Amino acid sequence: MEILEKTAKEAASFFQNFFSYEIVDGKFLQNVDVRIKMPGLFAFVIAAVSTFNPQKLILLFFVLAVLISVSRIPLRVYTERVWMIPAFSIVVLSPYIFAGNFGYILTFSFRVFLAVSFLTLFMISTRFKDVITALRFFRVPEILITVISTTYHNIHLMFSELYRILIARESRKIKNESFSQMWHNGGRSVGYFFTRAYEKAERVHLATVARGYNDKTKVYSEGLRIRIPDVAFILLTASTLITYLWI
Amino acid sequence: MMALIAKDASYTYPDGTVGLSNATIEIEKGERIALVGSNGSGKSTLLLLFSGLIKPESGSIEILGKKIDKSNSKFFRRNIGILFQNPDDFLFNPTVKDELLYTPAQLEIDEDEAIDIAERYASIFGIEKFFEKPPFRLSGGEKKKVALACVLMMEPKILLLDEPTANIDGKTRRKIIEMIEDIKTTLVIATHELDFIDKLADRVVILGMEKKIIADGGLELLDDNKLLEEAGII
Repeated sequence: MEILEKTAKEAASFFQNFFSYEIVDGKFLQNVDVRIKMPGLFAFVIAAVSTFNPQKLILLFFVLAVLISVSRIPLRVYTERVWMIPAFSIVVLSPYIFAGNFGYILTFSFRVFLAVSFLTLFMISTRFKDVITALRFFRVPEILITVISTTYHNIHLMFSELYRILIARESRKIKNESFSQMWHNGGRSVGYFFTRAYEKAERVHLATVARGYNDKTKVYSEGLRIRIPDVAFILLTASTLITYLWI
Repeated sequence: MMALIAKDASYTYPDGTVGLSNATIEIEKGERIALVGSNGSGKSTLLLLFSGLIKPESGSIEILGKKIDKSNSKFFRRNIGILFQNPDDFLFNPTVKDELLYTPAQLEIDEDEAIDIAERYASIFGIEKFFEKPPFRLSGGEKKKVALACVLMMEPKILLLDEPTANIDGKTRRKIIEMIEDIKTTLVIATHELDFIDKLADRVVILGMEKKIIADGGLELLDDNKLLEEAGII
């Protein structure tokens, strides 16, 4: 039963970092305008989850490797963020082993890996304020932007709250619990987490209001100017998608 | 002119906990007040009321001669700076730089000017090296400095500080006290640490266990052990 608690703790720690922007001194993706980068990388995500063709998936993997390399994204940071979801998909698909269908497990997990990788690449190389800029540029309804913005502002706080609860629980556990005790206490912890998360969200909302928020998250954004990294990214995306459709 | 006025202000939290009971206090512009009381005596609630973030259940609050409503909220946000007790509730942006630029963006201050001010305050607080770091990865003292920089960079007319020196090491504490000493504005500081009040405040307001103001006067109140005992401070 220890493994369940450890998994919850690892997941809380993982997701706390998952959504944060990390790479500042990049050379390529970081300099691509978000209004170009967002549709490009999302096109790759859709391409990854729309095929089981290994050649197409290898093409996308190659593009992914090029983007990671030219954007100087440290492999450690990238791997730390990406490993968990594909690993989880392998666990979910593990019954297919009994059907002898290894190929399906590998291809499916590879697709998941690619989709998560492109999303991670987007998050890792984009400031949140630029995401808001892009959403406004694509005329996403303001209410949805508010929801995304509020969720983003709260999400790592929630996971750090969960992490603290799990650490506190572990520090006060004297002996191993039986399955039923663990289930009972775990349920109480989850309930406690929801209460704390709710109260935290209230306090964070007060802080946003205290700091000037008034129904709409405002961000500083530049006008769209096409520069060399933007052109290079457009060419890479277009040529990849053409090749993908042609294969 | 009065900066802050509370008349018989009371507040009860949604779960029924009484936050403050019949508080009456007037604070002049430029005054420096220490709100002193034990944990749960209502200091934070009074600060929240003075910031206009919560409204009194009964009684009234006036800030810079105005009552808070939605139409003048921008005026209050521009002129009132409040530092929360727990910086984890206050810092919610992805990086320290985003934290510093959050309020200027909301108040539609020119970006170049905002970056200029942010860099100046980051350098004053020695936090420029954390500019690109997520606030949740900073230590308690660093978070406090970032939060204080976020508040002070707007140069508010009224500054409300809730336990600015709680849970931090001695060096950071000294630095923060020095910084607050240099601020020339209306200041209300809530604390239960008595050792630095004489440096920062010229008037002391003591809140008792009943969440009421039990004394209001000069620094000599801090020498009244019986009063401080009654308030649960010592």
